[in-house]
Amino acid sequence: MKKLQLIIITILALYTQPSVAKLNIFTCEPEWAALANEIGGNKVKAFSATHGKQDPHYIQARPSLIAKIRKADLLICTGAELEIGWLPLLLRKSANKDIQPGEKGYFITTSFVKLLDKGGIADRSRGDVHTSGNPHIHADPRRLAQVAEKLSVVMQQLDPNNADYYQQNSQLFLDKWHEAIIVWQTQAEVLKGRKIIAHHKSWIYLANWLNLEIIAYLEPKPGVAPTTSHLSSLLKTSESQQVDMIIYAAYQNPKSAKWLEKRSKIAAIELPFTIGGNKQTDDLFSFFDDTIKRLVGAVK
Amino acid sequence: MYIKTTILLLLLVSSASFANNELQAIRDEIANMKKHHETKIANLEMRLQTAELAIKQQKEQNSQVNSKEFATSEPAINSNPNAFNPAISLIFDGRYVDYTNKQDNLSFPGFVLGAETGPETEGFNLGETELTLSANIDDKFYAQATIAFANDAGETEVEVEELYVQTLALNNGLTLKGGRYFSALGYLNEQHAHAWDFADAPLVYQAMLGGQLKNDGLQLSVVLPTDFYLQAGLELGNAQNFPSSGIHNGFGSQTAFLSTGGDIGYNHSWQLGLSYWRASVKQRAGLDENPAFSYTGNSNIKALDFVYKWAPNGNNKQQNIKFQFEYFDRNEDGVLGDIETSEVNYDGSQTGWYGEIAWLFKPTWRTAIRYDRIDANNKSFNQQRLEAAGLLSDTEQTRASIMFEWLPSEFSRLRVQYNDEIDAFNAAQWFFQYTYSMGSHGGHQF
Repeated sequence: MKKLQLIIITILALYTQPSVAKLNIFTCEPEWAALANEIGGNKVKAFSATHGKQDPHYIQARPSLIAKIRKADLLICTGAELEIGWLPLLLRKSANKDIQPGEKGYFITTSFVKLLDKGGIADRSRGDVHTSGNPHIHADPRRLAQVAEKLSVVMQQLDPNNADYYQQNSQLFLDKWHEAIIVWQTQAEVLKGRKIIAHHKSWIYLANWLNLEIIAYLEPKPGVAPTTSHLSSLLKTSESQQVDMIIYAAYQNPKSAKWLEKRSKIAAIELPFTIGGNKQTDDLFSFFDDTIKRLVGAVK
Repeated sequence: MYIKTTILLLLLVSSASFANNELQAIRDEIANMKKHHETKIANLEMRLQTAELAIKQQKEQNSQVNSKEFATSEPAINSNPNAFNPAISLIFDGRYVDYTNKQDNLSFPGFVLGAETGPETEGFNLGETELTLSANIDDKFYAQATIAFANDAGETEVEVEELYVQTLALNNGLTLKGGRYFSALGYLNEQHAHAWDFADAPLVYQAMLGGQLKNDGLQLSVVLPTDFYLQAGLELGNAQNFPSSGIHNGFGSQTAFLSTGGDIGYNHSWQLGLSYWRASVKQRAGLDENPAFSYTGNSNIKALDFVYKWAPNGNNKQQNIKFQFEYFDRNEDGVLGDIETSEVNYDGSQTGWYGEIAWLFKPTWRTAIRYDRIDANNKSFNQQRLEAAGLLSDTEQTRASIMFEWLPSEFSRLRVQYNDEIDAFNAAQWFFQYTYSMGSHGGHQF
């Protein structure tokens, strides 16, 4: 009997752990955790389910993620089917009412910006298609600013005690951010109209922002691993027109990009796909600093 | 004397004029610097103004872009009436099976198998086709139905494999599930057969659970608010399905389960589970459905499961290794036979385990090996009855399997598998299996 009492007391003690005063944020990707930190400062605790060298498409609903999502007050994910293979399952396993779809704590960033590549045919013979639009919006700082504005409002609503703090912080961040955008645009002037081959459709927003032209992809179809025959056809393409560089994300296998680089003599550039993609990239500012530095370096 | 005075005077005058010059020079320089700095400051101020203007313009541009190019699409007024259709997926799991010896029956000494556990039909076989519908019912409930069409000897049987409703909004980590669902006993049991790494179930699942343990009842589970993952749960069931049997008042079966797990760095993750199932059994059919061999009494299973996964940087699509181990221990205490055929005591004790290692060595290629073992040590005062019922055993049964598979995408798989002979089943087996999934995207389970 004593034993049973002890067990019950232990379980109750675990159960009624004092909740930490900080706003607990679960994000699917590191860029959203970084943004939440910019706005939330020391009032929030942001966790990212994936890291800079991980492909956010293929994640499993691991025990560690269930433990984190169960305690979240706010969930920030990209949406547009990027996390379709794991987020719905994780949400069901979370048994956390506050972050279910439709609740205030369910924040999907792609629903606040205009998506490119929307529509199209939902046919899997075309590869991993996202008919609701290309989800990789964080590579455009202008879209990121739009998300920041909305996120600040949601954070103020969820944690009214710190509403002023979030309001001021997001204003400070946005001022700095818009200044930085001008600097980046000036630096990236030389990139205008450059032709690029990319590994996956991860960069269309960056290209849209900086007026780059992505003429082909290493993947024959979205989400399908590059094949030798497809790479050979790209080699021909690169002979018939001026291609300035090949880009691939830090989490992608560089083999195909290197293969093409060796034969075409076009520089293959590894880009951080998000925060933590390389050593130089530890927040949103350094993410764009480094990305533009690498792109500009390739054309000089 | 004069000369001296003149020199002195001259010196004085010259030094005074020198001092005057020096002063003037300093004054000039100050004026210069002032002028220079003023222009510099003016320049800086101008630059500041331009920069501020540029930011303002940028902001205006951004907000203009907000309203035009960037505007999110307007919600459609006339929404499609089919928009609320549930997510639908259809899974084909066809196979070609070949045996080195023709076998009609499957039996393991010391175990009585469920009615549906037999050797796989030889040759081409449509296997099991699964139709799954799932949707959030409202903000409180989620439901899922899986209907299986099994092809057996030219006939198609339709079976409700799963049909359950679960809560979404209990909060505090609590989830209540009701209906028919795969029990949380063990690790593999909760997964659908097409998600397994081999074409057939481990021996211990075949022998003890008749493939998979379904529960008709309720499940309450809680994810505890600990920093690491800790889940506990209880199940209540009607105990009508194999390995229990009969109609029971109240809850014929109960399950308790506990699981924990976590990550070690970016590359490793693991899960450990303990579970316990007990049920009362009424007239579970025995060998040849002979009433003298039927079982009535209690049955319980203790299970341990462990899964470890490795993927460089957590990118399991590129390369990964999985190790999986489960151990089951079943104890039964009751009688064989009924009043007409006379009851004899039965004390069943059986264990079984398997371990497997699967390796995705290229994004589209995977291989796995598995080792199985089951053991029985059943007792009765009536040794003859025990032997006649096929429950006497003095040797363990072991099996080794290997498989290769090609995964062109997340939605298709072609597999070849070889099973070594088992003593009690004197034939090696070949499986050629194809699995295709159509429709909505399934979840990536751990």
